[in-house]
Amino acid sequence: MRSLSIAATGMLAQQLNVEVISNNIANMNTTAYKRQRAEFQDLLYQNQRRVGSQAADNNAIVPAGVQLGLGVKAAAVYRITEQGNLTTTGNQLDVAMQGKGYFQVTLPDNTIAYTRAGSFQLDQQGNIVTADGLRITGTNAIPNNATSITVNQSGQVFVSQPGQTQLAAAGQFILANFVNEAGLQPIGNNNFIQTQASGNPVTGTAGNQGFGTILQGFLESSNVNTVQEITSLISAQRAYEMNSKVIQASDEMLQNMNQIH
Amino acid sequence: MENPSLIVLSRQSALRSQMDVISNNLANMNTRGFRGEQLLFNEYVNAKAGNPGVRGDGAKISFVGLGGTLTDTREGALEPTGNQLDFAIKGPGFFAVDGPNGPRYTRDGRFTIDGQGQIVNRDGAAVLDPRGRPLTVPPGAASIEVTAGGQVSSDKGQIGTLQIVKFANEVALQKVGTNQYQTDAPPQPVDGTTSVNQGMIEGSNIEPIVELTKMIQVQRAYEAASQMISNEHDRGLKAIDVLTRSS
Repeated sequence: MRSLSIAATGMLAQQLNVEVISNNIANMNTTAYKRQRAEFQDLLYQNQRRVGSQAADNNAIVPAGVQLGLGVKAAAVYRITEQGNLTTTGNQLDVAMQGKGYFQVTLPDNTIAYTRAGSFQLDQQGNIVTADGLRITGTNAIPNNATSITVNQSGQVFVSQPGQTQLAAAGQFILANFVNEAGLQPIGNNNFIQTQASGNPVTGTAGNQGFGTILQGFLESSNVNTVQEITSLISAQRAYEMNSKVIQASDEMLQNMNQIH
Repeated sequence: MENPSLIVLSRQSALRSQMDVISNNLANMNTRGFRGEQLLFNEYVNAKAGNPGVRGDGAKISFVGLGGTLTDTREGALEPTGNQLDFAIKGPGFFAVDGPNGPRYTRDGRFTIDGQGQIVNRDGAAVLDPRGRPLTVPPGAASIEVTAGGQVSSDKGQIGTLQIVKFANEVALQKVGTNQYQTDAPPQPVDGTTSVNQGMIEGSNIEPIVELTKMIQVQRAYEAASQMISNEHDRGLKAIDVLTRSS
């Protein structure tokens, strides 16, 4: 019975679905996390009677053949890059991106990674770094006597120092944009690296064409909608059960056959 | 004498195929752009075996045979994703993507771009324009827009038009898996009622409850059929018993 193995592929697919949903729920409070969803494709079809073949009795063309599908497989787990809500923190080194764009950070091996999680801090040299101590491209070291840091909408960083009325410039965030954001590869710690699918980064500054603006004192929260995830979880669970019912029904049909005597 | 059992057997093997179709529908209830199927049965009329000379209505018996799979062409619900390379077709129509033996057609519009900047589907096959050429995103482009008519443009200029076609008989399309169809039938241009929606994807059109109900029906029918085989077997035994009993 094909239906046994077909239903098994359905159960495997729903299992993956539940795994992805649970990862979304686990990351619902992760800064700038983008929710993911599992995507499926139908498997091959067996042609018992091919479309367009001739019926033997009257030579008529068969308008619709008998095509039996063999189940489902996982095609991709992909990210939905909608903007997350902005939440106010009041912290002067928390910056949120409203619109498109990624901050560029330098990984320990000197490659560039991209992130939207703007919960930055200062390291011992006064550099603006991520929570993991990775430096942000475009910003200069903040003098250690600075009394406050201001970031404007285009990502320019200014510091005020005691005894000076003018703000001193301390660089500007250089942002990157991708034609296919969903093609970026997540490497954990809220960072992404470019792939062939994402395309090459287009760099620029906030507020320019194609780039979002930067808001100081805000963080982008995850775009996980918990109600939606719980609903998807319930529907995935029911789908799993339905596929197991198919297995049960197929099994009973087989059992029934064995009982004929 | 075996005819009743043989007829019931044809019924049982048809029901097993129907179970396969239902389980495939249920397995694909979350597959993008998937369209459910149902199985049609044919009646095969035969002269009654073993009674060659007999004429009249009673001399014919009929078996069940597989007629065809009928694809349910209703649209699945559109769901927003916010991804600028997700396109959904509203109304009749299919995207054309490159395939090994000519173009393949799909309603699954979750596209991405490859290393050469071509718009491709999840398996890396190029999405085609009306002249059968791939669509290439210019290097450095940061945003892509698509109009309802399928014209794709980026912030670095026009990219081209998506080939969107429909078929006179959608049911005759051959499924090749991975949400794609293939056909020899000539494609036709779509009219203004078909539109492309960016940032949306089309879900599967399966109604799980309906499928589950059908599954229960199939299972019960199968049981009834095997009950009939059982009864038929008992009848045969009884006939042998009665006819051979010595008085």
